[in-house]
Amino acid sequence: MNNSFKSTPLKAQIASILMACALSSTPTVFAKGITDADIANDATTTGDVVSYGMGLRAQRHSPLTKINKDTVKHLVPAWSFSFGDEKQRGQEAQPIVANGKIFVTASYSRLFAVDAKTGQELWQYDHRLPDGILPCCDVINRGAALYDNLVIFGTLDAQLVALDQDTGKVVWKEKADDYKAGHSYSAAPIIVNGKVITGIAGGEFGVIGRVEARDAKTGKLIWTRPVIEGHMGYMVDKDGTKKENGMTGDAAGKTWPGDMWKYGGGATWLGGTYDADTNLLFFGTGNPAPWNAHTRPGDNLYTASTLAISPDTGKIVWHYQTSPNDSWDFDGVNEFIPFDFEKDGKTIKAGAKADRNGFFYVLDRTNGKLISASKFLPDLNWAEGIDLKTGRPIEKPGMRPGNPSEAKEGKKGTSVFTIPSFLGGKNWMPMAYSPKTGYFYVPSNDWGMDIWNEPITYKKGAAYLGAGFTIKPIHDDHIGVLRAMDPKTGKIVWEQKNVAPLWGGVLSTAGDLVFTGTPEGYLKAFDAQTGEELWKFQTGSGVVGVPVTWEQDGEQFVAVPSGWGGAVPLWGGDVAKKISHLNQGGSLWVFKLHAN
Amino acid sequence: MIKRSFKPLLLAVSLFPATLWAHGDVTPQAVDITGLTPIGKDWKEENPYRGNAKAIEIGKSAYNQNCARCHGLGAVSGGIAPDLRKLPQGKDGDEWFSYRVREGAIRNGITYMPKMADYLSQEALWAIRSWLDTVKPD
Repeated sequence: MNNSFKSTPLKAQIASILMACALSSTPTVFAKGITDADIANDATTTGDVVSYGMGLRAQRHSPLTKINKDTVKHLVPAWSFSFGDEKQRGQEAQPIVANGKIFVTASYSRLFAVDAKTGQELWQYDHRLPDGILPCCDVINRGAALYDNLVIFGTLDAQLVALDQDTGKVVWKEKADDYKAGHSYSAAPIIVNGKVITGIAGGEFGVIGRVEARDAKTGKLIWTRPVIEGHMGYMVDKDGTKKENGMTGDAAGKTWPGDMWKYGGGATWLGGTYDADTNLLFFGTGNPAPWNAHTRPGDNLYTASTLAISPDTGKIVWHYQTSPNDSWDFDGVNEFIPFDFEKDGKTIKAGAKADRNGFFYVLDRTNGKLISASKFLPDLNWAEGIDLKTGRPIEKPGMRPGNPSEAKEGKKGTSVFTIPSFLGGKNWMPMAYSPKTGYFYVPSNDWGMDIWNEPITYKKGAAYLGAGFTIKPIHDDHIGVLRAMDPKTGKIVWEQKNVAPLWGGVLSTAGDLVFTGTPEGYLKAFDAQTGEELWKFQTGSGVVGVPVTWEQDGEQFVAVPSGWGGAVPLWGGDVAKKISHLNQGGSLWVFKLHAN
Repeated sequence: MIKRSFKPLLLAVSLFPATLWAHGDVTPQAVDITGLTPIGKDWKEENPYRGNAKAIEIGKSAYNQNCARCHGLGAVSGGIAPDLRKLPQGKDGDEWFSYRVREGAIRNGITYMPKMADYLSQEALWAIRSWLDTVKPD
């Protein structure tokens, strides 16, 4: 029943009244609508998980301690739920939990509502997908958002769909863009003060990234902010009139040659985070298009950057670019996680990002100024470091692929070997922060690539790369490494290696535990201080989803989707020998401590 | 696996929409096919470029940019999409290849593969096939 009520006295009272009512009536009538306050407090309330990131800062930390480093050995499955169908592929979602229901998205734009206690299905929504969708990197979905009585998620054909939490019926549906041009939604939306905030995917097709705010109750557009210099932002007023709201970067062509900004990429494919202290949204932007950087000399703003955007005005407040004139598809889309730390007796309002390019950045989140940057990938070879004054990478000479126009016949430029590879030192999989240890837990991958450039022209719906590349492991014994980073020192505190690349999200708890999954099928728990592996469970298929934890009727639960897929097994190549034997799946696993 | 949903080539041809070339040469080619003899609109039953060094070179690049994201870099599958190194050599494989790139792979409403001929020219696609013929399983 209504077991997700917060433990504040007032709410407890309301809860008991509602419980009493529920006893004499249909319980679902009293399912509590999710409020802005519920979302704002998600990180500290333990009875539910109502947002992607377990709080809008996305620290993915739970204060729960029943499952801890002493008791975790007693963690056993409570139930498992199959996503069914022939539709398997990567299950990259983070489940959300409210009012005793788990909402979990699955591959091929499916969403399931499951009874959190029993694992029994309540309803299933199958989005009807057109033929010819063009998802870049598997048919995945990363999760849904809750607001009022709605559960809202994005689909592979670039629509946002809001369903009734109790029935699974469509309440509103909005088409964000043209899937035929390569647009799609795979990220989880976030809700900030009644607005549903989303990015857009389609990075390899020349799609222009943008951030959008809609009325969460109706789906109507409120503002849209393209992230590439020269594109106009819009505000939509209450009667539906679209008004210009300032050009991104003020003018076209400042950091792009000619009209290259028109198809400049910068897909905001991973969604964003929000910090109430500064009232800012933080969105990472993807790689510039095409990959061949010789076609677009200049910094190519705002690709491969973190943008701070006002949720009220849709305007960019600050930007920080991690890979200027990106030549490697390092992208810059990774999540920026707001956190505070003490330095010289002062509280620093910071934010951290483990970038695809292999550097771990700590920024002042009020203004985007660099505080520190260190390698979380020790083998990183393309830059010496980050200049603390300018915030720009100190690139090593000869680490950019050569210009094809200088090559024989103008076809293929010189090749370089870089670490990390185009799939990044860290890809989409979200890291976690523990305010208790003060560490970030970064799911990273040690790998490199040969990359070379080729001539390219834009064509709608076709890949817009202009590059050739390979992918190569750089160590015999592992690709994946879970690393604990101390943001104060920039040092790696501990690491845990894994044979296959890591591709799942991380959860930290006040029980001194860090949870993450492996493509080999395990959900694992590590000691948050030392990294010692304390527990693992084989889920039957690779775990590339995001674990969460919550409390219900006095018991702590942990849930994670299982189902191998994502970009790694699609790109194959030299990584194939470590992964091609792994089997697909599609299920949700829920764990709890066993009775004694 | 590959053979399971094979349909006769003639059926595929008759279903093939004529609108695919509606864009004409207004839209730039995603793959630069300079140096290849033009083939025209009608689909060939056999790869006209087999063993053609230029086609192999163009096909290698075109594969990497358009196909590798699912079928794997260097045509080495990571275990999800079919491993194209196992596509039969010669006419057998050509027939399958041309069917699949034009019809895509759509089963029970699920797009496993888009109709690549909507995006790439026949020349570019046969160039990709020419390169695939040169890649052998380990």
